Amino acid sequence: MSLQSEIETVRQRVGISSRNHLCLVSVRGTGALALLDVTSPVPLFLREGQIRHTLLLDDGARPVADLQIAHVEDGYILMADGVSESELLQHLETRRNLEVPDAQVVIEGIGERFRVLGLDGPYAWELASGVLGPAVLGMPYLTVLQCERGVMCLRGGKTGEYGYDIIVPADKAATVESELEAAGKAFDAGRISLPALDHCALENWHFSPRNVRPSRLVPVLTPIELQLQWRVNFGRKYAGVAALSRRRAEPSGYRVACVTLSKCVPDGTLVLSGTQVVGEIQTLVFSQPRDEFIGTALVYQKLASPGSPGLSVVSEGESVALTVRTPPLLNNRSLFITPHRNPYANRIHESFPPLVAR
Amino acid sequence: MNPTELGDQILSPEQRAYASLYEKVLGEVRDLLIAALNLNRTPDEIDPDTALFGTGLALDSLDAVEIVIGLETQMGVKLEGQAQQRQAMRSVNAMVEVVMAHRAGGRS
Repeated sequence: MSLQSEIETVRQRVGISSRNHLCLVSVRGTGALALLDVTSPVPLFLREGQIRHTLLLDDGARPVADLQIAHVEDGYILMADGVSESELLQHLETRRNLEVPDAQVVIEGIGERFRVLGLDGPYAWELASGVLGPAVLGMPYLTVLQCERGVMCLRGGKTGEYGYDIIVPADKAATVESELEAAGKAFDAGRISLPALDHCALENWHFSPRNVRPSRLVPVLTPIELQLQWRVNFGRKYAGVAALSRRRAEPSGYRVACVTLSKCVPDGTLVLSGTQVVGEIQTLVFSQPRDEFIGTALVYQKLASPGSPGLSVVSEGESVALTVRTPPLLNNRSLFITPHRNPYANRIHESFPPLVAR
Repeated sequence: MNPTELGDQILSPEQRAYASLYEKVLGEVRDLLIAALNLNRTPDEIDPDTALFGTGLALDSLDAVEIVIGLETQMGVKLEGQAQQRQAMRSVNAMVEVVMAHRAGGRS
């Protein structure tokens, strides 16, 4: 299946994926919360069954991973995108030794014992509930459900559609995956790859560490430039907070903005206002529903607002207008689909707004 | 030269006017969100492209009512129908765009 077919699967039906890019670490014991409290950039007011979305920063305040922390029955599960299991374990050990050396806590990589499968799409809820049970239908966003066979289902997703991360004991992973694929035939489900997920994340303005490029204009992009401040708090202890506070006191003056272009240019292409360099392209992909190139650019803050006039890039000697837009760039079908009320079988009798509002 | 060193000098008159209008409305929207929702954040911590629901500020349906009321009573912007409300409240910038369009004489 081509990348565009995979993206269409996510946007119209259900994509099934192996989330091999995620790493899993379990944190348990009476000191678990104390350790996570000095690790997480946001407060962890989590009841059992809830998930918090945050970041893992390096000491320079660069986000190195997209981090979800789930409060489960016997502690916490950390699911990270952007670092390996050993890197996450090392990060946690360092935080423990520095901040809470006496904490009674068991930190354990569980990637060997579990696999993560994923479902994304407007009908992912229907496929997930068919295989994992009807309780999936009532799951609020950012919650985790303990299912039969030791399976945990996390409702989240980074595509703008219904999304589920399904943590399965390794010895049952092949069986559950086969069941999802068999049941998925009724939804015209298809396998999707990581590039398709990252593409959808870009269309919907979800953070993916793979969509951030090193910049010549601002050597370290922090959550301030990346517009991810909702995932951090300044008054807490965590790796990178000192550098982040310094950046806040002395801003770079740039912000990553959502942009569209009629032509593709390489990552790193300079953004111009007249002849003045005012930014740099971060990532561009072709969005079929929009019929144009979409992505992100680091732009001088005063010009990074949607509709800001006079921005361009040079492509093959020709000036091409660059438009800053308000993301997300799609009217996701999942916005108009309610579990139970809008099953896949009824889709041909229902009308949905176009994916792109012109 | 780095534009941050040049400041507003690098902006054309059109860009300067647009940036000024945008910053003004963004400031008002941030203030509205902080006051109406009692957010424990300073305005500069609310990034323009932050989503309001789900991820981002993680607001709920009661918060949505507060925003609709705040937009109408404080900014004179009445959101007509569910579709427009849904679109206007996807992010901070989506709200800013609605207010700017209203003030420019377009549909709210």
